Amino acid sequence: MAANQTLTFQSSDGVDISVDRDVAERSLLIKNMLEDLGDAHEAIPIPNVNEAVLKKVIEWCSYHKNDPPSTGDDDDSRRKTTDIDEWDQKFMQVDQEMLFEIILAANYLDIKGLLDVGCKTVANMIKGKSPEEIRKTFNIQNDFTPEEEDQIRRENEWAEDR
Amino acid sequence: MTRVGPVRSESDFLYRRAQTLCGQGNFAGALEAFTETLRCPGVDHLDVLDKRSAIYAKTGQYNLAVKDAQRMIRDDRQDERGYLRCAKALVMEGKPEKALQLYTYALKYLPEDRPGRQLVVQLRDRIQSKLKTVETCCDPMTVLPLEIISMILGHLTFRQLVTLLRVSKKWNQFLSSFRELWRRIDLSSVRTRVPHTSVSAYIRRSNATLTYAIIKNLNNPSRHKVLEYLSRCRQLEYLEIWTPVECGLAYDLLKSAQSLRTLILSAEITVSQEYIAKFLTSLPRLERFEIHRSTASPASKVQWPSHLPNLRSISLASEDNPNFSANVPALFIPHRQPESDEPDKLRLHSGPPVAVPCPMTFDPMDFVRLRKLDLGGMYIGRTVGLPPTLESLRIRGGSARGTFPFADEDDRDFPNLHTLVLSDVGWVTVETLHEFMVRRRAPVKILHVDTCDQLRGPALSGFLCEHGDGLTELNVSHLFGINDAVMEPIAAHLRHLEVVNMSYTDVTGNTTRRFVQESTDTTRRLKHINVKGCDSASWDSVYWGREQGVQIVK
Repeated sequence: MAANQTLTFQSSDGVDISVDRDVAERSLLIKNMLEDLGDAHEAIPIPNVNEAVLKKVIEWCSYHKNDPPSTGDDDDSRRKTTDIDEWDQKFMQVDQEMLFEIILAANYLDIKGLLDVGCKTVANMIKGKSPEEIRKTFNIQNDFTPEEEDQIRRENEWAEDR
Repeated sequence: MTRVGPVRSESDFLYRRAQTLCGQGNFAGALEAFTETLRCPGVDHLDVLDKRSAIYAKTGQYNLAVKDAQRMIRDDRQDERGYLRCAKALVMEGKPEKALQLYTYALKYLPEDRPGRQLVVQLRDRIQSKLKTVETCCDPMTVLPLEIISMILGHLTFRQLVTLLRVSKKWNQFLSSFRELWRRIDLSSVRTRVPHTSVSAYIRRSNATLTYAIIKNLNNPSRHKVLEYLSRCRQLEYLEIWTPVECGLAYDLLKSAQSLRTLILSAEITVSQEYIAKFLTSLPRLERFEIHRSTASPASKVQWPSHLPNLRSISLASEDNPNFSANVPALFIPHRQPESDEPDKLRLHSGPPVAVPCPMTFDPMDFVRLRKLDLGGMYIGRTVGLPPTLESLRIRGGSARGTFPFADEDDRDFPNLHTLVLSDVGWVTVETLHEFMVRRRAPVKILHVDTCDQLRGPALSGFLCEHGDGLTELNVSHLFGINDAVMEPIAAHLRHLEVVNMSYTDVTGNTTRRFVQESTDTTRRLKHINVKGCDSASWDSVYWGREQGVQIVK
C-alpha cells in the first residue's frame, strides 16, 4: 500500500474531493471497502453526504487521523461524561442542520469518534434545560393540551429543580 | 376613538361599552358591541375593525381576525394598521411566513413618508431573522434515526430523561415506549419530593423490567407503595434506599427480589442482626450488601447462612454502644471457616455517641480472598490477622496495643497492598509504616497518616525519604511537626507524588513552591496540593502554583 495514496470521494451533489488514504480510513466503511477492493482508482461515490458535510467530515478525520483506534468494548456502564475536547467543540459550532447531517454522515461512514462527539454535542444541548428551553432550542411545538400538560407536569416536575 | 363632538352618539356609547366589556374579560360581549358599533353611521371603521380583529385573535378565532384586518387593508391601503393587525394574527396562528409576505406587500403600498412605515420595516426584519434561525433548528427526534437518538439519550441522567417527557407529545410517546430507558431509576440527585405515582409510572414504562433503582426523596406515604412496586420487578439487580422505611416491612417486600445483587440501605433504615441474617439467607444472589445502621439482636434470633457463595462485599455501620451482653452485636460477622468463595471487601464502622472501640467478632485472615478491609472505630487485638491478598487497608480511629497490633505469626509479605489509609489512628508510628512498607514489602502508593497523633514530622520525613519513593499520594493533614523543614526533603525525594495533602499543618508558601518547582523541573506530574487551614501558606504561592497548572486548595 502506498504510504499516502490519494483517493477521490464523490459527494451526493456530484463534487469530487480528494482525500489522503490514512484520513479516509478513519471511516470504517471506507476502510473495509478498500480492504475488499484492493485499490480504488475511480472516485468513490458517497451517496448520502453532500459536499459541505463531506468537507466537514474530512476536516474532522484529518485532525484526528493519528488518534488511537477506539477500544471497541462498548460496555453497558453508561458514560455520563459529555466532556468534549476544545478542538471538537469548536468544530461542532455549526447550525443544527449541519450538526445533524454530520452525525448522520458519521453514522453512515462508520466513524465512531465523530459520531460520539456529535451525540455528546446534542446531549449537551439538552442538559440542564427546562422543557420550554428544549422546545426553543430545537424549535419544537408544545402540542400538549392544557390538561395533558398539567398532568405530565405534575408527574415529572420533580426533575426540574433549580 | 378619535371622534370629538358635543353629541354623545349611539356609536360612542357602544364603543365605550365594548371597551369596558373587553377590559372585564367578557370578549363575547365586546365582540357583539363592536359589531353593533360598525353598523352605526359615521363611525371610524378602521379603528373599530382593528379592535374587533384584536379580540378575535385573542380568543383564537384567527380566521375572523384576518378577515377584519383584510377589510381594513382594502379600505385604506396606505394605512399601516390593517397590515400590522393582519400580520400579528398570522404570527399568532403560527404562519410567520405569511406574515413576512404581508409585510413585504405592505411596504409596496405604504407611502415613503408615512410614519408607521418604519415600524413595518422593523417588524419585517425581526420576523425575517427569526425565520432564518428557525429554519435551521430541527427536532432531533424527527431527523435522526432511533439508534442515534438512543446514543444521545445514553449521555443523559435519569432526571434529564424525565424532563424530556414534558417537551412534546412526540417526545413523550417516543421516550415512554423506549423500554430500555426506564430500566434504571435514579432519584439520588433530587432535592424535591417525588410522588409515588411518578415512580410507578416509570416502572410501568419499563414494563417491570427495572434492573436498577436508587430511591430517595419520597413522601412519607409513598415509601411503602414504591417498595411494593419495586418488589414486583423480578429483574431488579441493584437497589439503594435512602429514605426511612421500617426494616421488617422492607424485608417482607424485598425477600422475593431474587435477582438482587446489590442492596444498600441508608442510615435512615435500622437493620438488626436478625434481619441482616434474614436478608442474606433469602437473597442468596447478593454480591454487595451495605447496611448503614445496623443494630444488635438477641442471639436466638440471628442465623447467618453457613455459606455465602456470591457475596463479595459486606459493609456494616452502627451507632450502637459496643456491649458485651448475650446479644449478637451490630457489627457481627460470623467467624468463618476459610473457604474460597468469600467476600473480598469488608467494611465495619462503629460510631457510638461516646467513642468506645468495638471488638471484632472474626479474624479477617479467614477471608482468604480479602482485597479491601476498612475498619472504623474498631478495637484491633492480637486475634486480628491481615491476609496477604490485601490490596487496600483503611483504618479510622479505634484502638489497639502496640505499633503493629495485628496477628503476625508468619511475618507474611503484603505483595499487593498499595493503599494504606490510617486516619486518626493513635497507635501508628514510623514503626508501623516500617513494618508494612519495609519488612512486609507492601508496595504502597497511597499513604494517609492524617491526624495520627503519635507520628512526628521529622521521623516521618526521614522514613519517607528513604522508603517512600513509590508513593503517588500522601496525606499528612493535621499532623504535628509538619513544616517546611520536613516537607522540603519529601518534595525533593518523592519523585512520583501526584497528590499531597498538607492541610492544617505549619507549612508555608515555600513548601508549596518547592513542590510545584520540583514538578515542573522534572517529568513528574504533580496534580493536586491541599494547604487548607495552613495559616502560614501565602496566597502568592497558591496563585503562582495554580498558574503552573497545579490544582491547589487553600
